[in-house]
Amino acid sequence: MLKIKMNSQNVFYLFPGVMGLIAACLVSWLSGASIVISLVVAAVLAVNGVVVGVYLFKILQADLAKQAEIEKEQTDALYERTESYVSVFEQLFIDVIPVISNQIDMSKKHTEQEVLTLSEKFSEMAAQIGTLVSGQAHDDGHLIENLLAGTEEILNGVVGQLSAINEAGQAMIEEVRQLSNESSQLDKMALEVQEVAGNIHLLSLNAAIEAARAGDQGSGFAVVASEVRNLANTSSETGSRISKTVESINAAMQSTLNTAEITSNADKERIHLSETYIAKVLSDIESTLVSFKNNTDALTENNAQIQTDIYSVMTALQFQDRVSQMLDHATHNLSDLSSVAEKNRAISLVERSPESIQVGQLMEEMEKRYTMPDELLQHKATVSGEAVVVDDAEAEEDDELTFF
Amino acid sequence: MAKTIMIVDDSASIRQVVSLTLKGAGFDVISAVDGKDALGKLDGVKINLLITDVNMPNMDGITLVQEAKKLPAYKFTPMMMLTTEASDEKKQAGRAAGAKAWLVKPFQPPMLLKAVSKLMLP
Repeated sequence: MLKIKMNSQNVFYLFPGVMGLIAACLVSWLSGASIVISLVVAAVLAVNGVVVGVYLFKILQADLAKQAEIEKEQTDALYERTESYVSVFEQLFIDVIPVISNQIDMSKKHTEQEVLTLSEKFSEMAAQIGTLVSGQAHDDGHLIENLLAGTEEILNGVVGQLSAINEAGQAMIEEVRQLSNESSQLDKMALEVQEVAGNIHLLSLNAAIEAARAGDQGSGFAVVASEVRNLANTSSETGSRISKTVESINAAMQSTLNTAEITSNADKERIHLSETYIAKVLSDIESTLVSFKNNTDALTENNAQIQTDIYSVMTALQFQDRVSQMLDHATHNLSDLSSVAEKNRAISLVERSPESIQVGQLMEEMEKRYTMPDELLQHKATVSGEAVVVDDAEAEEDDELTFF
Repeated sequence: MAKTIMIVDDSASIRQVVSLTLKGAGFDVISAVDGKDALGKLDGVKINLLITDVNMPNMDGITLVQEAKKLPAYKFTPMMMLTTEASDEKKQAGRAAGAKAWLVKPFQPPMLLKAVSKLMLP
């Protein structure tokens, strides 16, 4: 049997031909015509069938060709639209990514600057607190008592000096008073002298009278009596002068005494006032110092808490370093995206394939880039679509510090 | 004589916090911003301990430890890493380079002081 390839073209030819042949055979058999006529008729019909077949095939082909052309036009238009869409989309990446990168960069710089300022200020404060608290720790607790005792000693010493001066003044006044007594003794003596002189004068008068009575024998005696009288007069005058001198001395001393006493009393009053004032000032200082000590005592008691608080702040301030690193990685990731877009732009659409964007490789590069465990966890969770678990639990001490 | 510690980290706020912690404990502190800067500053200066970050521009921390250990002056100087990295492979790399300890950021100041006191040569 001939092996005829059954393609559409051959069907077109054969089918009508075969049908014609079958029809001819039927007709000739039914009409009872001779074999020769039957064969001729059969042949004619077969050929006719083939000719019709060929003609029909050609029409069909023309129709198909036309349809193919229309479809091609549509496909070309779609292709162009797709190409320009992809191009615009790529451009979107290439335009927008640097903008986002710069925003991230700006955030990073801003945070760095502000946290640095914050942490500098905090350092200063912490150092000051540290000094104050450690200074307080060295206080032996008797600082205030010693301070007050020392001050009191000095002030009392000053008052003592003033009192001593005042007492010396008093002693001087006493001595002057003594002198005054002595001089009144002198005065008495001066009066006595005058009295004696008066008596002597009387005696001399009596002597003179007796001398006169004795006549010539009494003349020598009269002379003596006269001299005695003179002596008595001189003594009297002397006594009088002594009295006057003593009087003026007394007056001077009295005046001095008065002044000295007034001054001394005033000084005593002032010294007394000073003592009162000093006592008050010491009392004020003491209460201020006690209040101050109570405040710093409270500070010392809180020392442990303050230290813990300072350490907490120092741990917290380190966030900025982590944020900077994360932002760096985000920028890198964006730049990777941008590179992919640029690289593919250079290839024409026809030559591209989904394989030219290696998402898996891109993700792996990102994973390698991370420097913190939770960055990696976050990445993986995002990729797998799971909820991101933020672990706030404190890390185990063993995890944090490792010795080799 | 106060002991001297060098801190190497590209983050200014980390240098600030480490400095405050160490100075508060009575140490003198020298700072550097990356491995290259650190080597420049190490030129003959005596330090009792080196603390360094891992990820830094110009020269990373692990390379710094390797390079510093080659210098005779610092061959026996204790060195430790202070970094956000926590993976075992990185830690092994640090250990291989010559580091004696690995402290993960963010660190609690008492932890840093504990590491310092343990590593510091008397």
